[in-house]
Amino acid sequence: MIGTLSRWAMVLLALAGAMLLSVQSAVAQDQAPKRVYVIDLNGEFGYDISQTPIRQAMRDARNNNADVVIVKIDAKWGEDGLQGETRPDTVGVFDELFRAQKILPIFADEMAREWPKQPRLVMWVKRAMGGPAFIPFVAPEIYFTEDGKMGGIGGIGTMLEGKGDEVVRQKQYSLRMARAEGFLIRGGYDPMIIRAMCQPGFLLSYRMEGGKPVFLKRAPERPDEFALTSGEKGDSMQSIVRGTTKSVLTLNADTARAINVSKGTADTVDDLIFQLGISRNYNMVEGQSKRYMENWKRDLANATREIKKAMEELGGADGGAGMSGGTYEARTQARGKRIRLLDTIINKLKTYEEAFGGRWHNENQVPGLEYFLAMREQLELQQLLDKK
Amino acid sequence: MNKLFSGFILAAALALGVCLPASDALAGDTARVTLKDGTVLEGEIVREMQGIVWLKIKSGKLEETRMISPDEMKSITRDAGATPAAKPGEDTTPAKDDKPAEPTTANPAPAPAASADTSSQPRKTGVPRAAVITLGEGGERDMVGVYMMAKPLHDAIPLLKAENVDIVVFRVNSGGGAALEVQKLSDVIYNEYRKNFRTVAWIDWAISAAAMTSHAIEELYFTPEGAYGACTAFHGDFVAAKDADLERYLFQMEKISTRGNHDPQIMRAMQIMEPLSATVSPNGDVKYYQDETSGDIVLNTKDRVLTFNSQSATQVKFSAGTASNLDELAKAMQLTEVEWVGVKKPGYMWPICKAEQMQMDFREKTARDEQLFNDYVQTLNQLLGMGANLDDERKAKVAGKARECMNKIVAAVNNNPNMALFKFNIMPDKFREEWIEPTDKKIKELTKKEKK
Repeated sequence: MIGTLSRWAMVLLALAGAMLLSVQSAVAQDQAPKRVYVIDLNGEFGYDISQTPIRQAMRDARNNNADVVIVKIDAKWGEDGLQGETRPDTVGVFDELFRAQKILPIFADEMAREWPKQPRLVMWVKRAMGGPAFIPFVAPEIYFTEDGKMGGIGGIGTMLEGKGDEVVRQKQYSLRMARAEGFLIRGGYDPMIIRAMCQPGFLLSYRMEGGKPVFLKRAPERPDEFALTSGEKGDSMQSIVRGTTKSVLTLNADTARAINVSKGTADTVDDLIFQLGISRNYNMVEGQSKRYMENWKRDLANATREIKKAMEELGGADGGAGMSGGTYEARTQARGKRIRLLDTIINKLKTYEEAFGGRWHNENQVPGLEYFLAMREQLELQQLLDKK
Repeated sequence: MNKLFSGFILAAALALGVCLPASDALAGDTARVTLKDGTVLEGEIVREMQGIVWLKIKSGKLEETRMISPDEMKSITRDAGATPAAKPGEDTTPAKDDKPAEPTTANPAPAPAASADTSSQPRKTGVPRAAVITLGEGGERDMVGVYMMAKPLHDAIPLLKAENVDIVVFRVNSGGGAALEVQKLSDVIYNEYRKNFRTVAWIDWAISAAAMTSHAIEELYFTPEGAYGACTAFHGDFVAAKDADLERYLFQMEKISTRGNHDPQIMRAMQIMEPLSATVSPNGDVKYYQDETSGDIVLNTKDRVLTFNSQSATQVKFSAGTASNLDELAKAMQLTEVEWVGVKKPGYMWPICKAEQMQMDFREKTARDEQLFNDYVQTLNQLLGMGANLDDERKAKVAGKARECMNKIVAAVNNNPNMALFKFNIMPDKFREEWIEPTDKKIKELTKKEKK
C-alpha cells in the first residue's frame, strides 16, 4: 500500500516538475526580447506601394521570426502644386479600394496562413489618403503620427452622378460600401466609421460611454456628444483650403484617438515602441524590407526605360527596314529583331502589370499589352507567308 | 437451430442498419414537421443528418426540398412504416412526436446515397467528410457565366461522391456577371447538390449574380468581411432592366428565394430600391417588412439597394455565423469533428479536393483562353482573308495555321460553352452549326485546287 502511494507521489512530483518546466519555458519565452520589424510604405499608392514588395517584406519578417511588425504608411497624396499644396481631403478616390484589395490579404489571410505564430501587427499612419486609407483597418492596432491623416475616400453616393439609372448607381454604391465595411468588421472597428469616411452627407456623431465610443447617426444633442461629419454633401472653399472639411470624415491623430481607432500618437519609432509597451525589452530586426522597396522602385524605373527604348527601336528609322526588300534571310533577320524587341516589351508589361495601370500607360504613352501581342502575331504571319 | 440462425441474421441486419447512413434508412419516409413559428410542413424525408432533416414538400405540381435545422424545428412526427434505424436506443415507433435530434457526431448519419466506387476512400467512423468548392476566386477570375458556371459544378459531383463527401461548402468570391447563368447554377445547386450533400455557402464576396446563385442555399455563413447582395440587373452603361425584363428577374428570384427558404422581400430589396426592415422575436424568429418602419431593424431605406455585411446578415439570422477559417466554420456549423477532404497546398486556406481541383483547372483554362481568344479570332480572320492570291504552297501554310486557330477556339468553347455567346453572340448549342461548320468550310476552300 505504501509502495503504491509512493509511486503515485513520484508520478505527481514528476507531473508537477514537467508543468513547472513548461511554465518556466513560457515565461522565458515571454521574457525574451520582442523582435520588431518595420516596413516603410512610401511613394505612390499602387505603383511604389504594391503587393510584390510588401509580400516580400512580410515574408522576410516571418523568416526573421518577428514578434511585432510595424507598417508605416506615408503615401503620396496627389500632385504637389507650385506652392507645395496637396490634394484636398475631399477629393474622393474611393475606387482605390479595389487596388487596396490586392494588398490587404497580405496582412490578413496570408499572414494567418503563413505565419506559424501570429505577429503583433501595428499600422502607423502618417499619410494614408485614398486607397491606403483602407489598409490600416486590417490591423487591430493603429497609431498615428502627430500630423497623421487618413481619408480621401469619399464619393459613395456622388461618384457616379449622371451615369445611367439611379437604381444601378445605388447598386454600385451598395456593393462598394459593403466591401469597405467588411474590412472594418474584420479589424474590429465599427463599420459606421467607414461610412462617414466614404459617403458625403452621412451624418455621424459620437459620445463616450465606459471608455468606448457610441456612434449616433444624427447631429450632437448633448454637450458630451461630438460631430464627426456635417451631414452636408459638400464643403466651403474656406474649409477645403484649410483642410477642415466635414462632409466626409478625415481622421487625424486627435479624432482617430478620440473614437478609439488610434491607440496613440507617436512621431518616432522609439515613441511608438514605448507606446507599444515593449521599450524595455526589444530588438530591431535588420531585415530586407527597405531593400525590397527600393529594388521595386528601381526595377519599375528600369522597366519603364527599357520599354521606351524598345519602342523607339521598333518605330525608329530602321525599325521596319529590311522587312520587304532584300533576301529571305535578311527579311527573316529583321523580323526576328522586331520580335525580340516586342518580347522585351511584352515581358516587362506582364512582369510589372500590377504597377503599370492606366495612368502609367497614359503618362508614358505606352499602348496596352494586346497591341504588342497583335503586332507580334502579325510578324509571325508575315514570316509564315514569306518565301525564299 | 433455425431460431438461432434467424436470430443471428436479425442481429446482423440491425448492426448493418446502425452502420448505414440514415438517409438510406429513411429514404421514402414521410414526416410532419412543426416549426418553432408554428408552421407545419409535411413531406417525404429525403435525407437526415446530424439532426438536420431534408423534407421534400409537394404543392400542386411544384416540389421543393427544404432543409430544416434543429434550431427551427419544434417537433417531428414520422408517419412511415419504416423505422429510422440510424440511432440505436432511439424509440422508432412510427407516428410519434420526436424532439429534433441534437447535432452529434457520436452517431452521425453522414453519407448521402453514394456511388458504388466510394469504398476507395477511407472514412473515419462517425466523422463527416466535408469539401470546399470555390465559386469564383476573386480578382479577374470571378465572373458568373465565365468563371463560375453550372457545367463544371455538375461535372464535379461524381468526384465528390468518389471521395465520400457528405458536406459541400461553397466558398463564394464573385462580383457577379451574366444573369443567364443564374438559373442554371441555381438548378445544379438545388437539384443536384442539395439532394446529395449537406450544402452550405461560405460568403466572402457574393455580389449580384453570385448572390442570386447562392440564394438557392439555405445554410449561409459569412467571412468577417463578407458581403452579399446588390443584385440589380443592368446592361451597358448602367441601364437598369425595366418592365417585363425586370418583372422576370424579380419573379425568378422569388422562386429561388423559396428554394433557399429566404423571405423573398430580402432579395427584392437587393434587386430594386425597396425598403426592408426586420424584427427578431425573443424566440429567435425573424419577420421581415417591406418598409422602414414596421421592423425594429432597418436593413435598407427606400432610396438604396441592399447589400448585407457579416454583421447585418447575422443580426437578422440571414447568416448562420461568421467564420474566417475552417476551424471557425466547423464550429459555426456545429460540427464537433469533421474531416476536410483534399490535399493541403501552400497558399490555400482549405485542402484541395478533386472536385475543387476541377474548378481550378476550369478557371485556369478559361483565363488562358480568354486572354488569347481575341488573338485566335483576329489571326483566323486575317488568314481566311489572305488566301485568294497565294500560290498553293502558301495556301497550304495558311490553311494549316487557320485550322490551328480554329481548333484552339473550339477547345476554348468546349471548356466554357458561354464563350460562344460572349465572343460570337452565338448560343452555345448552335455553335457547331453557326460557326464551326462554316469556318471549316472556308478553310477547306483555301486549299481546294482550282480546275484549269
